[in-house]
Amino acid sequence: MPNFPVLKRLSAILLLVCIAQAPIAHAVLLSVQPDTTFAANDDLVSLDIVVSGLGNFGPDSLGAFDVSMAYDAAVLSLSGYSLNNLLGDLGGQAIDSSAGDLGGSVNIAEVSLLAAVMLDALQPDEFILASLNFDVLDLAIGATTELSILPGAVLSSAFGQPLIVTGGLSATIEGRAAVPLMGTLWLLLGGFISWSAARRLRKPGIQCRHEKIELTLIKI
Amino acid sequence: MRYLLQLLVTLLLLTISTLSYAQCAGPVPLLMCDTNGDWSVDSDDITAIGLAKGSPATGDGDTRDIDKDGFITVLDARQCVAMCDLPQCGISDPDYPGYTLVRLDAGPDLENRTLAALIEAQPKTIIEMPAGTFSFFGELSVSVDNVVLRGQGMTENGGTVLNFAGQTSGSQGILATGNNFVVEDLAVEDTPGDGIKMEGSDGVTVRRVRIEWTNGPDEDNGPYGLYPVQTRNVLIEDSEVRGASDAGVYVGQSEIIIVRRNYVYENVAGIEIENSKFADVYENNTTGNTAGILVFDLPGPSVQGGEATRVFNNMIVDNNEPNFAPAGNIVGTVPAGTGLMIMANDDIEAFDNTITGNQSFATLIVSYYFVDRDVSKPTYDPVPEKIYVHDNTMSNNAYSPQDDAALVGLVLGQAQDHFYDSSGVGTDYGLLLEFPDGLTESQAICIVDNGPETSMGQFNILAVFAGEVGDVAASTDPVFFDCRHASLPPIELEPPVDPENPTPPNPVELCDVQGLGLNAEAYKADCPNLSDYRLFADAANPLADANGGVIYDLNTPLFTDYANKYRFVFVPEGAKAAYRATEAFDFPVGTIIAKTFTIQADLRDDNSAQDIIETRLMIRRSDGWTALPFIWNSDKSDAVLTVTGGTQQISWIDNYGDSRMTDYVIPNTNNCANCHGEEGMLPLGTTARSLNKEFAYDSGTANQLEHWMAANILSGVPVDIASIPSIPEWGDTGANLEDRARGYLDVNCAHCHKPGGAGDTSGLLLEYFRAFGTEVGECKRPVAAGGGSGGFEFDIVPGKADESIMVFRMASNELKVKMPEIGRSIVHPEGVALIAEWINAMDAVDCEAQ
Repeated sequence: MPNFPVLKRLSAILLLVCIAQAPIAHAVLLSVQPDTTFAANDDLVSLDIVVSGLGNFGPDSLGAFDVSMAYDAAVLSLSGYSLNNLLGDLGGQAIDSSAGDLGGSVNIAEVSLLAAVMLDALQPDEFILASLNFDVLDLAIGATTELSILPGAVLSSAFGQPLIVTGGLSATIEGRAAVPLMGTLWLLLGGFISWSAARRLRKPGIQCRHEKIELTLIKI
Repeated sequence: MRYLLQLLVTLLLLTISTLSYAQCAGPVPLLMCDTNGDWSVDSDDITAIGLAKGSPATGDGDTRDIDKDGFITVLDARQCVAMCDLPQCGISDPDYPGYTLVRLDAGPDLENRTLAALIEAQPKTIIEMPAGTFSFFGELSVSVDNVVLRGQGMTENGGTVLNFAGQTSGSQGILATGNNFVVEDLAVEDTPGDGIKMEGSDGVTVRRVRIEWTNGPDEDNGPYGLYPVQTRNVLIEDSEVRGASDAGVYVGQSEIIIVRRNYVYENVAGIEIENSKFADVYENNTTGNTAGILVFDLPGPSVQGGEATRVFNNMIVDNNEPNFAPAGNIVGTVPAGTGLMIMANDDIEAFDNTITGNQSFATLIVSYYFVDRDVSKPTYDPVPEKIYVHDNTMSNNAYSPQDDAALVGLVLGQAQDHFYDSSGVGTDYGLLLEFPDGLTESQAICIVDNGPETSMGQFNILAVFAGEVGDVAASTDPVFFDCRHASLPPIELEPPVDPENPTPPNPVELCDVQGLGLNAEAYKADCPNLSDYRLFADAANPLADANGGVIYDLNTPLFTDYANKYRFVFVPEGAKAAYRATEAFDFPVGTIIAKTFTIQADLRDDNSAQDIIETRLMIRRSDGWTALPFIWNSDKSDAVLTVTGGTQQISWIDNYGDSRMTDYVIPNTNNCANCHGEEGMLPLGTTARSLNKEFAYDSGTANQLEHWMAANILSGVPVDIASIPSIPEWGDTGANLEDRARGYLDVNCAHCHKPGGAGDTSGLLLEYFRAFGTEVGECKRPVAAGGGSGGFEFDIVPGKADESIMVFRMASNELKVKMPEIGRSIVHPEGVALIAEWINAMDAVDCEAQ
């Protein structure tokens, strides 16, 4: 039977030694791409959370991450997210630990079950951690809404050591004019009328009627 | 350096973690990361830690806070991954404790992912396939011990269905050669060959598996649905098979067998236990087959002596499907409408079965003379003995005898529910072997208590076939069968044994070592690139300038779609291979044999361009040989390890000036094992008889064996090199025809068709040194050829190449027919012509009359 108090002290000493000897954490860049998107109400907007600076198919590699991003729930609604498979397939090589949509923020997290050497072989210097899809609910033309990665994002090396996170941690969606479906149909219809009329008005002496039709189109 | 430091820190943390315990838990120690207290760290624990991220730790004893920072984070989860007991933190399945679970999703390329998972699996792995119907085009194979292949069910709806209708390579859907193989909860459809074959395994479990040829009975269907052969401890349960052109469930040359609760319908034979012993067949439903259940012992396979089988509590009903087995197969002789048939087997007990509606026989008990008068194998017993058929429920059988069953009615005046063929027993006729003249009491055929209305009769079929009507010993007197034997004991499977030597981790770091010359230690690793081994001075040219390797050539090479082959052997400095007279030389650990395949643009011009396709390495490690296939990249700068193999379109101009094109198949790692040996791989070409030839080295022409000795890589070669056999070059018309033909068969066929090889089960053995006779195919009936027989009856009919199965199969490119099964994608007409010429040159023999 082991002497557990002794083991505990030994553990604590070893832990302190380890922490003292732990290498300086490596800095990686976390960003949201694209950093600016134009969208109208009812559009679907997809944003990628990207990590870079890991080293190309070698150390460091990402062994786990826990990232939350804030968004304005009055403007956007999360419709879904997907995790990349560069920490392993979710079918047995990695675990999705995401909390998902929390209403105003979304949490994505993943823990790889692969060995460090396998992660090294799998991961390029830069790759997408996750893609987030939002429905635009209410964004006025010219107005903007910002999505920002919340402080406290945790990126783990393949060995469970923290990686220092830097980078462009936010993205902006700017409202643009929508092209309503009915309007689109009217435009098409108008174009067709215009084209038909133009064919008929190619004869000399009726140029004025052509201009009238163009005016009509502008009203539409 | 920083990487190593991180590794060190992690190891130290693990040490701490392993020694840690929770103060709050009092005297009970806790294992860090073990969140559920099961004394094991697995993905359940990692999942729990990941979901608790952001929470404060509950104290020093919180097993989730391995880094002791007071919070649960994904850093803890990731550090705990290193604590897992199993690779990738496998979940302990309650049915398979200690196994690692690998789940495959239904995304693209499932076939390759499944094959890769099977090839790369460590012992004790569960590979779980997703629900859905998936088309597979190549054979799935697994050679690792203790692997479970699992789906989501065997039904169309919600299950896992693997459809092989478009299969282009491999001869069965799934091939398993490892021990303790389990396949469960999936369906295999429309394989050109067998559904699932398990060969040489100790421990086979098939559970809730459906094998189906969806077009129903058809002679073009594969022969066997579930096919364990030369196996031990076999369990087949709760499965379904439909449409097999030989047997739905076939257990051959095996022992300790349970076949239970299966539903087999519309096959030629529902269930067949052949050349096997110690089997229980019970609670199965066999209906709509040509015959319900067969228990056979045949002379052809390499293992004989079938005995000790119990057939009980089965429903054997309405098995009246016309026999649709391809001609030439022994099962093709089974009369349609047979319930239970016992041929040449001993010690069989059939009881408590319901046998109804079978129009020819309820039970048919015959000697092997029923199908063949020529039994020339002295160790084979063609006569059934100690058969005990009792207490079965029978009705409405033998009402319309089919095929040879009609003979019984002609001889005995009417059809019989039970018929016994006494050939070889009790008469002076037909004793081709010395055998007791009559059965002793302990050998008797007992048929009792099957209901008062059942009829039974007997006569000597061999005598009838020979026209000796006066000597047939015909009788319908039930007194002859009125006897009893002691019941056989039930079968108990032996518990599975865990693999003794788990595969060590692959030390891929050895591949990255920089330097010049051979990377001497890289042989220990499966390196991702061929260049990692630094076998050649120019990494992009594997055809010359080997770094310490010796080039060699073979007298007659294996035909692989006219590919050129460049072979080099790299023996570790200071070590030597040991000469062996008939087998491949015994190479020391560290040896690498490299074989590069190229396609010549114009076979008429040796100087025409060559396209480098693949390089195969055979590496001798401390635990045996390993085979690694490397495929050359598009810019031909390096070759990449591709354990799943591949297909590449190639084109060339042949010897007649015609443009040719084919899909060249690069074998996967398990295909390598099919040829090089499933239980222990060996090189094939490095035998004395293949190497004993002159070779033009840069330093001058020399005998290869002498050159190897001079290079200090081979020892023990006989002084008299001329006394060593040498296979002639197959195309050397100046050499002896038989030697050329036997040499060709040796190189192209004997890697399987040798004792212990994959083709050993057929009883056809084709090594160069084996004396010509039945074993080499002379008048030999096939064992399990299925459609591969082409309607012919014998492997070689002397004097008649066009009636010989061997030539038929060599000349075919049809997946279920062609031989060799792998290694070529086109027919080798010159090779076929050689074998045909050899057979036609033999003195004609009437195989039927023998």
